Amino acid sequence: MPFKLEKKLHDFFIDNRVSGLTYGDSNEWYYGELDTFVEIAKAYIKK
Amino acid sequence: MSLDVYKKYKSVYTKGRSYPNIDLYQDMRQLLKNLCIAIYHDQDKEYLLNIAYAIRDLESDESYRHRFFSSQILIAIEDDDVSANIPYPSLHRWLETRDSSGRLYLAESDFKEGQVKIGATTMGITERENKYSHKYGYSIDVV
Repeated sequence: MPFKLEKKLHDFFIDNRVSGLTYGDSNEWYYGELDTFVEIAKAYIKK
Repeated sequence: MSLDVYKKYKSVYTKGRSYPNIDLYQDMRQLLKNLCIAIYHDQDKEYLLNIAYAIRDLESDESYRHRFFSSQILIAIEDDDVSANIPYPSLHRWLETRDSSGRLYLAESDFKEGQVKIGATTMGITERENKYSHKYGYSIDVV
């Protein structure tokens, strides 16, 4: 269920969220290294 | 102009994040979400009113300080003047089932250095990239 997974990742990285953007905005961006996001995303997919 | 119930939902959602342990906010958020989905599915007036009555009952709880909108919602439903402008990401998440298809993706952009986008889409990846570029005026690369 990709959209529920997306929400879980948004919540996980909430402290990295670029200021001024809120959930529901399809233009959300998060500070950080791509590798970190890939690693966490894979972990959530495996759950 | 019709009453957009999603705006009410969003207001309670934001408030509820400040008070995660207060069940009333979470219950109200769920009722407003149900109402948004019911409006999206064009449920009949009686169905919408039943949800609105539940919102009114919850709002009457003395410990709930976020008032005034159940009467607006009831009037709007009675007048057939209610809408739910649910944003694309929320709509897909709300309606998602185990059988739903789609893709989770991560994206970067030359215009967003040091930042990553987390997204989900029912589109193909190239189509999503093109739509994003068209909407926001800069390109993304799904990785």
